[in-house]
Amino acid sequence: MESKIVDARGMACPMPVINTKKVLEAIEEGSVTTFVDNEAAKDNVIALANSMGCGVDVQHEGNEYRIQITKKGTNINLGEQTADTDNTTIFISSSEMGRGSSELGDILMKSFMFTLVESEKAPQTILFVNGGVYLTCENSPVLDHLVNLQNRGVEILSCGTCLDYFKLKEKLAVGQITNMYTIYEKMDSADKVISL
Amino acid sequence: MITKDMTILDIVDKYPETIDVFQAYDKTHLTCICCTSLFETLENTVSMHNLDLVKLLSDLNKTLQKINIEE
Repeated sequence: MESKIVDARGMACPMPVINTKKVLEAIEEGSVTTFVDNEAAKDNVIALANSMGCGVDVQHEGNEYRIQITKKGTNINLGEQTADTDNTTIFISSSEMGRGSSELGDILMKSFMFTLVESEKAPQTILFVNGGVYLTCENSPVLDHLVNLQNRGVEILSCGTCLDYFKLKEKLAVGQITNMYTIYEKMDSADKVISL
Repeated sequence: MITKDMTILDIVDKYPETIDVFQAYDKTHLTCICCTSLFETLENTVSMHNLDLVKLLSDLNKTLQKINIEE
């Protein structure tokens, strides 16, 4: 396993991300430890690692962050994913299910996520936009279900613009941050899109 | 050629010379485009920061032209 270090302390955006990306792309598998000294760089390096399907561990000391990124060889999980998921994308644009009663909407969303976890074939991707991003953040009532689905190979993607708008970026607790281009790409390439 | 559907990361990674263009916008708009929108497309970034897409695209592509001429 290769192990590389990127010292991006003192570097302005976007250099910490670009330097980390180059090192990550150059290795087949292994770990890259990036040191940064500001929060924006830390957030962006984490987002990069997530977008490349890598594991991330962050340690914070004073003004400095040590971000350990683990890259696994490609296709390691592909077999599992294709066995357990089908090419369906679920598009969730609210933290509640349906209109009428907010309280009932919360209950229905919990029930929906529980049903997804229990179902034999999970979707390939779940997209969260607008108020839906509350579901992927800390204190979400369905966080355990989403973590469970992620462990089964389901891709959990939250809209970055939406997380920014609700000031939730720091609180994202499951899955990765995405952009509108990827959201459209996922919907376009899916065999079936279920919109809630 | 830079297009509106490229992410900021794609642009600065492929054409590092464009970082100066974004940083010039940072100064006039009192923000850090690369900090806040690195994973967004140029089109989304423009709407988030209330920028002029045509002008930004033109500024970015002019930078590429300059590099090509110098090379």
